[in-house]
Amino acid sequence: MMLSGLGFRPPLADWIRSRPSEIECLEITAEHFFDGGQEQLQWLSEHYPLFIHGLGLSLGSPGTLDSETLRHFIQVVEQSDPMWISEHIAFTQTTEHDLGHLNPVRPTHSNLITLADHARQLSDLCAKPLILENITSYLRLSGEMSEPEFLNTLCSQADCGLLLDVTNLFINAQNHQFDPVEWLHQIEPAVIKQLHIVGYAQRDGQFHDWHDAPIQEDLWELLEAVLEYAPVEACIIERDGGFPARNDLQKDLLRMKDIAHVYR
Amino acid sequence: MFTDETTLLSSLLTDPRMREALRSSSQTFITKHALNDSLSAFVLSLDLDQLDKQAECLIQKRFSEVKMLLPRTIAQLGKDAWCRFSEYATRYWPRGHRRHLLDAVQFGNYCFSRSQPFDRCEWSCLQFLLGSNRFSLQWFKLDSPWHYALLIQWRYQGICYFRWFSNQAPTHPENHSP
Repeated sequence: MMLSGLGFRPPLADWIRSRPSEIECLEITAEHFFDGGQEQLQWLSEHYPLFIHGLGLSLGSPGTLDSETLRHFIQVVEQSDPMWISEHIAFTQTTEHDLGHLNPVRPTHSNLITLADHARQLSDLCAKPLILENITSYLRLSGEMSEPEFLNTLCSQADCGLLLDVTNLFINAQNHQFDPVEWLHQIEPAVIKQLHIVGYAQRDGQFHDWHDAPIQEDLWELLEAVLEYAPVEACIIERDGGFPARNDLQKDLLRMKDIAHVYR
Repeated sequence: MFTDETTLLSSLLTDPRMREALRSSSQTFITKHALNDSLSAFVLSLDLDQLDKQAECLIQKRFSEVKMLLPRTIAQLGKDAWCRFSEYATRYWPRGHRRHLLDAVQFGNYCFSRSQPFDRCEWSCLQFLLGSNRFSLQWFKLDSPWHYALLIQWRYQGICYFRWFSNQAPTHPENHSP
């Protein structure tokens, strides 16, 4: 059975605390609890299945992982005892710069080694299964293999799963003109453990991942294609802003459950 | 001297002058930075329009975070807000998980140093959040001599609270942490 849930965000806290039946699980952004909030984290872990999601570990950067970020991340995992943890197939920093957001890594053998080493290290230190997420990027980097081949090999070498962001796949497909379903069918279905979905934005002829829009019909269709294809265990609505009335989020969660029911 | 693609790409994404140099002459760029064959092939393979777009996206994402932390300053800057922020943002890249707070405080400093519109009260709240003081009391003169404000902030069990009193009623922010 697939669990349906939300990314935990402070504007949704009161609703989440009321324990609505539509929310079956929560994804917690680790960085939001680096400076406190342990009581809230404990309450959430006692009432919902949790997944801990990282933004800033920069698994794609060569060299060692940032020890301070790693220490904080492990603390959050220990305090919340999640079902699994997740990070991105990306880099966010180097020794000189913290770019603050996700940037692509080229699908090369050398980057595969860097990512797989960091992924195994993270999973071992946290003593939790790890899944890795595909990102959206305006910059498309070609390498020694296709992106799906890179992801399949990475999951196999790092012994981890894939967090497939349906919206990121859709946006990349639109901006870089490829067929998202064809791309999906090149991914090993068994590795797809969790999904992210949120509405996209469109401006200046491009698609953007601003995480502040309701889920559009073409995304629902792609979600159905994914659920038909892979044994997904959880799907998270990843809304960061433009928070709708609870009714709208409830409707999206119920629709997600209905779709999941059809394919299970 | 660059030794790997990620560091080189990171520098290109954070430094508009490097992107301009690459666009104007890739061979000069390769020679200037003494790039080896593999890194030379990498920069030659980059789509420079996509690179610019990705770089702009990094600044836009920072701007959207700062907009949430300094809403009054951004409103006061009006149409110039994005221009002022992008001018500032290419010169400073905050590090760590508190980078959005650091970014907002530094952007406030930048506006202040250039005599741009800037809301001192919301900036003070962010400074308090960044610091470790348990209590702070500040007195502000507002836009006219008879308009004033008093800002009291305190920290309890890791949570910051503030109260704001002003005789210029319509302009005060909400009494909670930003």
